[in-house]
Amino acid sequence: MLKVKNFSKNYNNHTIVAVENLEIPEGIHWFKGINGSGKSTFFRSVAGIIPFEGEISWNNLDIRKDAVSYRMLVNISEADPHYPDYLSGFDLLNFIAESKKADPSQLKKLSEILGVNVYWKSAIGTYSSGMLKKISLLSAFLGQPSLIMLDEPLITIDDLSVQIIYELVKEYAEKQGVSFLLSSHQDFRFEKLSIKNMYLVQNQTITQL
Amino acid sequence: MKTITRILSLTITKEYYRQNMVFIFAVMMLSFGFLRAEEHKTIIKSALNLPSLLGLIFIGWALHALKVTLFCLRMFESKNNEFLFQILLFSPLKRYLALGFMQFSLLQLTILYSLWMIIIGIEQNKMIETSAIISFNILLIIAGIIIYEYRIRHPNVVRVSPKPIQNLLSRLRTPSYLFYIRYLFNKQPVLMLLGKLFTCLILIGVCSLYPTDVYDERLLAIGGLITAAGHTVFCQQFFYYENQFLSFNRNLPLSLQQRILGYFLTYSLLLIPEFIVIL
Repeated sequence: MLKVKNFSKNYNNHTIVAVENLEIPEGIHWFKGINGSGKSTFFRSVAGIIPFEGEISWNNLDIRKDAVSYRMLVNISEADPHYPDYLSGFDLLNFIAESKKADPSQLKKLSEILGVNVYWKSAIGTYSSGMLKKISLLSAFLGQPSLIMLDEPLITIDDLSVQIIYELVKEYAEKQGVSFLLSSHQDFRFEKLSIKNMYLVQNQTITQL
Repeated sequence: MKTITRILSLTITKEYYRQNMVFIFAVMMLSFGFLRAEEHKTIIKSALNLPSLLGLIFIGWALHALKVTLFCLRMFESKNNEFLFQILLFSPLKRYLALGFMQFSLLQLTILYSLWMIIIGIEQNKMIETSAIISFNILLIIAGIIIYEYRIRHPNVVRVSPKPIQNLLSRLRTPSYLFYIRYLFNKQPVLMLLGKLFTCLILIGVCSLYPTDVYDERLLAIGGLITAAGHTVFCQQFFYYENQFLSFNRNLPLSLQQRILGYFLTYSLLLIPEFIVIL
């Protein structure tokens, strides 16, 4: 279970998201909200990428006290990933895979499924936005995570890749019991998945629908 | 005109000063922290009397202009700034003026110092040297306009040039402790070259004092301090680089020791030129 307590994230004294108490059970969850509502900020906070006020824990592992073990279980794919353009996707994914203690065969398998292995030895600067997005999506599945956050996972990728992502989410959720937090501002994208709860990010807070 | 100047100022000039704040601070500290105003006046007067010293100062200004120009070219080529190529739709006069103003704003570090030199030159009645200083500054601005204009007219050029080192590196796996070093070589080559040149010259200068002076550890400590001050630019770049391109790094399950070891390896490699000089 993801527990969020007295959470707030402010930029220049402007509150982006504030959550007094939120408990998200295991399963696949959908975060809805318009652009700028704070979905990405919340996801990035839960991933430990940006600092925030309050407490966040996943399966009783505190994001600050159990920094390493928490990050071993919580993965993220960002909506608009930024990577050094002179490195190759191969460099980057190997680094992430190694730190997440992923089996080399896992990286190989995922890269083949998503078709990343075709171009991953080229410099990131030569990738299209869809190719870059697939690198980011792949990185979220590496290791043995029990919570994967996919921020706007279906934007910029082609229809075939969308189907592959659906299948991966289903497989990880059903076979490995991985929980997912998915965000999208569109209403129709996740109907093929068994969504447990829906949350609305609006008016600087998060409420369950 | 106002629109084009404003957009260039926000996208390039402001960004340059934001990214190079520590570099400028380090230069100011080294220039005015170790030398008093009177000593600067003596140097300026000497430069006005010695063409070779003036030439050396011009080389320094040209290197600074090169750093600024390469930064601008990088900004023009950045995907985020592709809209800047719309500048071509403005009239040539407006374009040249805006690009010239941008170059002038970016060269303030050397232009302000040259202004001081010009005032002293006029006081000393050194009209030829003063004209040379003014002309050289104008030349740097015009060179900037020509280069930027060329880039705006030739956007997103695909360079067909052999890159043996990059081709070799793309075949090998880059370990994470080399990410930042590759960033410096790829994105900040001038900063890398000037930074290393500066710190190595300081160390060579300090070490060469020993044969004539009594052995004094404090001298080496001062050299080390200046070198460390010069290196703050690399630290600032590291911070910027990590925040900009490696934000995912904070989501990785790396312990504090592993992170420190990574920084240690990176900085050890970065300090190889200084180690070579000292040894």
